[in-house]
Amino acid sequence: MIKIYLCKVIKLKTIILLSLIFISLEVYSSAAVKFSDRIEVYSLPNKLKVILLEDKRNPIAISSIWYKVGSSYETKGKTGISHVLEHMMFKGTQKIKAGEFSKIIKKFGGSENAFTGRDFTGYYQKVNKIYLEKCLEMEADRMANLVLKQSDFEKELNVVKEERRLRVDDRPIPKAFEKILQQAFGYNEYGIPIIGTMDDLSNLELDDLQSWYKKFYTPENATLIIAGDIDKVAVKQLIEKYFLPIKNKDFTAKIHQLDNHKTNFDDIILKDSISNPTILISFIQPKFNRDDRLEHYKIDLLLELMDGGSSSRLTKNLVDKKKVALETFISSDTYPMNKNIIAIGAIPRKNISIETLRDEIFLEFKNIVEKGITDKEFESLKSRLSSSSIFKLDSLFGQVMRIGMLESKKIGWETLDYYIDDMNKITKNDLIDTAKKYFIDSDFIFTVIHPNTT
Amino acid sequence: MKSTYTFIFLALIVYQTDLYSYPKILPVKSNPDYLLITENTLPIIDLTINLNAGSSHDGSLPGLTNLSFESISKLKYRDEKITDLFENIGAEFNYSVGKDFSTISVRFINNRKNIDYVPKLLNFILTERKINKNDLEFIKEKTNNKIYSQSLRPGSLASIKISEKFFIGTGYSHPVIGYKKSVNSISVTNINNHLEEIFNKESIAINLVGNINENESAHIISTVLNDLPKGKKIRKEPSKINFNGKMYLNKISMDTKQTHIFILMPGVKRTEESYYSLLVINYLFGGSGFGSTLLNEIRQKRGLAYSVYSYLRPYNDFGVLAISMQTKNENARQAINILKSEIFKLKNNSFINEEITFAKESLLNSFNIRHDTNKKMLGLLSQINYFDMDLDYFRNYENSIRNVNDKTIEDVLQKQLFLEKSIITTVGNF
Repeated sequence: MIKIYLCKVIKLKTIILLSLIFISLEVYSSAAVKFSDRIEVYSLPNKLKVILLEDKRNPIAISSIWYKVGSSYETKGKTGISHVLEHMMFKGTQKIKAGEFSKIIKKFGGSENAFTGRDFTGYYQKVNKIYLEKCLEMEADRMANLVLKQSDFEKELNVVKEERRLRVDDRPIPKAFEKILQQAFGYNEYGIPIIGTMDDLSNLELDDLQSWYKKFYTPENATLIIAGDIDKVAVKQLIEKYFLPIKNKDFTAKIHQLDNHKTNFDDIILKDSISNPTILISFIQPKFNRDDRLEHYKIDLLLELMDGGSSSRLTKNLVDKKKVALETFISSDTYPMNKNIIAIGAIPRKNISIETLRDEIFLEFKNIVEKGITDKEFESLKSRLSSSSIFKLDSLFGQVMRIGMLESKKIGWETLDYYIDDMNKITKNDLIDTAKKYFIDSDFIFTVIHPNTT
Repeated sequence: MKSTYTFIFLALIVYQTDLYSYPKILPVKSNPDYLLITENTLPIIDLTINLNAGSSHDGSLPGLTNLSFESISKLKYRDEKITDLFENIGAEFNYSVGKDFSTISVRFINNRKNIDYVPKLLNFILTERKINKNDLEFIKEKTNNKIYSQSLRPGSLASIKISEKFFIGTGYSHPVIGYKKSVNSISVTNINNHLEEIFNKESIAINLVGNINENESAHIISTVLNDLPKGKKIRKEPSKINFNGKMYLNKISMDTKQTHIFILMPGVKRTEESYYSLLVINYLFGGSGFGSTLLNEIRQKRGLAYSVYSYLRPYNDFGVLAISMQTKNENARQAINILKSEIFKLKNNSFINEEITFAKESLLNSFNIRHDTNKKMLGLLSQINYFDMDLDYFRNYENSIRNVNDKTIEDVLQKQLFLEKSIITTVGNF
């Protein structure tokens, strides 16, 4: 019995090993670790989408469920509702009292958490594979039978307000980003802060949460991702046992009407508790379109070239050579489901004005257009991406997050399998065109955060 | 009947092996300073060089070790920044400085070229480092900006200020990055001398995790250490916590929405057996999130904070139990009173056996789950190497947790955890 068991493990590990060694030999070519070799996708009759991902490196399993709802589904007056509901999902059901879910996972030695984004709300448990069934049972239970109580809600709302103070109100850069996104998109889609405004949190009521739960927490609006060292046949039976009985509610995934907000490109000047002046140059990023994904990857690759590491243009030229910046950074999202911003940030060195630094950043983009890209830096760029795609496989949780995010954004996990091939189709000239189109010839919101003391 | 017993026995072995399966730690060529865990499922190699010097070795120049390591980012090899050379082959290169030791780490794809090239670059860092005055001026400006930034962030400031009081008179009292005045006084010569003292074979330990065998590891290690002097371990007198006062509140004003509350108290050293009892105590008190005493009292019952937790800081010379939370200014006093009350209750050891058993089971079951990536395993291997712990660490960990009971917990609470010597530091506006 033991022998059979061990043989099975060794065989499966060897298969993964061989396929990956093959990949490493071709790491600079178009090879990538194909998720399609390890993934099985199907739907239950109640339309719950299920994704099973095999990874036998450790005897662990991750159960995660992703609902297609987040802050971009919210409206002014009700901002933060998805995130507050995420907190309330730990407050018990008819079967399981508040805190019991977490206690059971702890006893297993597992970890669990939840997260809210602009386009999704997700929940996960990471446990030894032998405890997977209990995770599925409890997750299915709270999809259908959550009990929302006024007393829990009032306390949890205070917790969320503390979270807002911690993550946003006492932090200059996140505060500035809220202002920039608001000016770019108003209270629409990505203009809405994930955690909600303090006023809206104060006005939120339990009934609002009840409606939100009823509207979005249904099988047909969810994706269940089970990953790890799993027996697919057995797991399918468990999923059927616990999730199949859940009926859909009156789900209508209607998106609310957007107001007619027009992006305002005026400068934003702020003062805050910050050590040095900090500038942010924010460009509008188009929403991701899978059929036109190369266009988006060109932006990604260009941003990597500009500020992906110590050898990138902004660091090499503005920090090391010209010595005008103390540091530079870029904030962007490869897969925005709606229009987003790409923010290029920098901190000037002593005696360098913010205008000089801003002009130098634009000059770097112009130099791409006028002087081109060297073969060496282009090769370095691609080898970084290839290696990084292998490094990402070290974390099972990281893989689940990537799949869940793409599914929830309605982009599809398959996109991951094309990624390296797609990137390899991009040429140096493509990056030159991208620099011109999205950065040189585009409007931007220029933000300066000055230290309080000046 | 006999066959039934056999079946149950075998089934249990399978079950246990599956639940607590540990990787094998191999001392490369029997040298306990160089440890390897082979993990062949991905073509990745993770390597860490542990250097036996942290900010507690700064001497009279707080920030010296950190500035010395920052200088690595400016090193050039054949006219190219060393960091760029790692990037060109898709490798991830990092360095970090802690209070006790510092690390240089690299993650790279296993292929013949990288196996030869990466160790050569690392050897260059250890043997040929040179920093010029201009680069040092830049690093100082950047470091001073970080120092100022930290002083404006309530959480960072609370952490700095409490360490100054709690570790007074030891090398642990100053922040790792130092102070503006001391950083400005550090010269190129100071850095070169400091690195000369640190970078020697006696002060270096190397850890590897990933798709690599013992012979390849030995080749990498010998290349990394090639031409490096044998030297001697950097020494400092073991520190003692000098704070012997009663629990008191150190209040710092800042214009913020929240008050950050930080508490430190003397605990147990990482290498002592009673550390495992403290691990269980910390789990139940505030180290395990939902269900822990602190989270129940502060967040679940009263909604006073998003985050409240306790954790152990295992330094070389002593152990410390830390507590951290944030709450809006108006609630700060109430939160401090609850924390103090829970600290004093802890002394009374009100943990029941059921809770202790629960904590032990959870800690044992979580071991594999907490170390499920090569990177996390490498972090643990570095700790094992630094604290010179047994190569059978994983089994010993399991046994030590199993040996914790109400008596060992009582012993730690009464004799080794000095709750009455806690310092509370707050930064905020209350």
